[in-house]
Amino acid sequence: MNTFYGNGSATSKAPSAVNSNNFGLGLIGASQFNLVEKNKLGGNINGVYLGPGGNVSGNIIRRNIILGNPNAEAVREFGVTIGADIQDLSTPGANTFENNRCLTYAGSVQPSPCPSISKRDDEEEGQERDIAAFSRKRLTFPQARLVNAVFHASGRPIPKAAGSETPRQTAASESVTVTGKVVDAACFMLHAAAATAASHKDCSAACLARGVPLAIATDNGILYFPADGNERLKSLLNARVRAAGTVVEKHDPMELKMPVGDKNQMVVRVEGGYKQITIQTLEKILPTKRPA
Amino acid sequence: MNQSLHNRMVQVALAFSALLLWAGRTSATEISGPISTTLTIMDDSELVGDVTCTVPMTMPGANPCISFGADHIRLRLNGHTITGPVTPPTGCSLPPDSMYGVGIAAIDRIDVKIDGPGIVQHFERWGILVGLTGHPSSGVTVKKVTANHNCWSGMQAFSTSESTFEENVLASDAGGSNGASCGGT
Repeated sequence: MNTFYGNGSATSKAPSAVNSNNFGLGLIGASQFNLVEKNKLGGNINGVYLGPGGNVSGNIIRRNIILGNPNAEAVREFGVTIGADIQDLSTPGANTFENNRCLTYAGSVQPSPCPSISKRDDEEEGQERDIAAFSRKRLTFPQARLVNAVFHASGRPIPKAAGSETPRQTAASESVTVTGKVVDAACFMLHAAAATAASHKDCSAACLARGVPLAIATDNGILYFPADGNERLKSLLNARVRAAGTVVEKHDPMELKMPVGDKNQMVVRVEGGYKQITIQTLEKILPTKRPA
Repeated sequence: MNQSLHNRMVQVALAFSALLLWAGRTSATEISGPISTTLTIMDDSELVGDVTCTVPMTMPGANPCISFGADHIRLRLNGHTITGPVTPPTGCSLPPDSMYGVGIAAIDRIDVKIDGPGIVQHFERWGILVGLTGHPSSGVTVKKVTANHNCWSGMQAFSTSESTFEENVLASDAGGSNGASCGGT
């Protein structure tokens, strides 16, 4: 996101020109196939300016906030035609405007891209909303809470789970038998229902291939993370299993990473402790036939 | 030649080669203070203090304060400011002028980066110039840079492709464009 504020001087208006040619962001001359996305432009003579001549084409201008161009003082001094949020002198249809927030448009595109004050939901906004919602509600395993969720570009080192190697605090272990479903833990924490749905199988397999931690989710929503990683559980993804072993309560923070598209990862940091199981026996529970 | 001597010669040769390789890698150039002739950077460079530019208009075209002279290098501004000699609209370049001043130029370059935070301000034409007609640039990244109070555009790109301009602030530019079509970027 770039920010463009207060650019352009109205005094540059040529006597023969209807509009000033100054701008916050300008595509002029031969400007083709650019993506102008998620910028803020305000108080400029024109917010976005697409120049004439037929060589400004193939550009996509989307999801920008383009408001207050020109500023009220310039309008009062020079009249409303001095500028616009989007000043479009390019060939109609040569460029694409999508989901911008703007009020004034000067150009030939019909329907006019402005005024537009609503934004359509998209995938990224949905993710942000999910994260926000996730932070508001209690996690499905006890005591834990989401303290941060951020996007990291792929290729950057992601810190390992802080509690996985050198726990500062570990409660005494106890022998238990756990029954539940093998799930993609990161997804389960965001969308418990979706993570356990059959339709999520391909997605969780893709996540597994990229190293997302697996866990056993019990019917009451408690997650048990295997002490030895995904090795023993990976062939049982989405299956119901019964695991016996010793369980310890970890109290250090833990980070789960989940791929988002090809380029990003979402890292969910969890504090408040989690359960780790050292599996001694593991068996798949076959589905039982319902009585006819 | 006995084996011991041969081994020793090989070791000396390897050590000399390593020394040459090491010597070929210069550390990042540190920049600060006044600049009165164009500083052309050939390797990764960084500002370690504010810069004041007084590069005279002696060459046709851009007379940049700092110019990228090599591909695949990076200029880090480290929170410092590069200030040119004018305050718009006074002293600004006129459209017919063949010689003009800019802050940072990346012309005919591939894969170069300008990393903010940092400010580029008060130049006669553009704060940052990427590419020029007939001298294309590609793979240029400009990130977290503020360009303000430059006479023409804060950042101007000509013949530029596959580049990323991200998280920049372009404010109060084009106060002295004298009819040229200019603005933030």
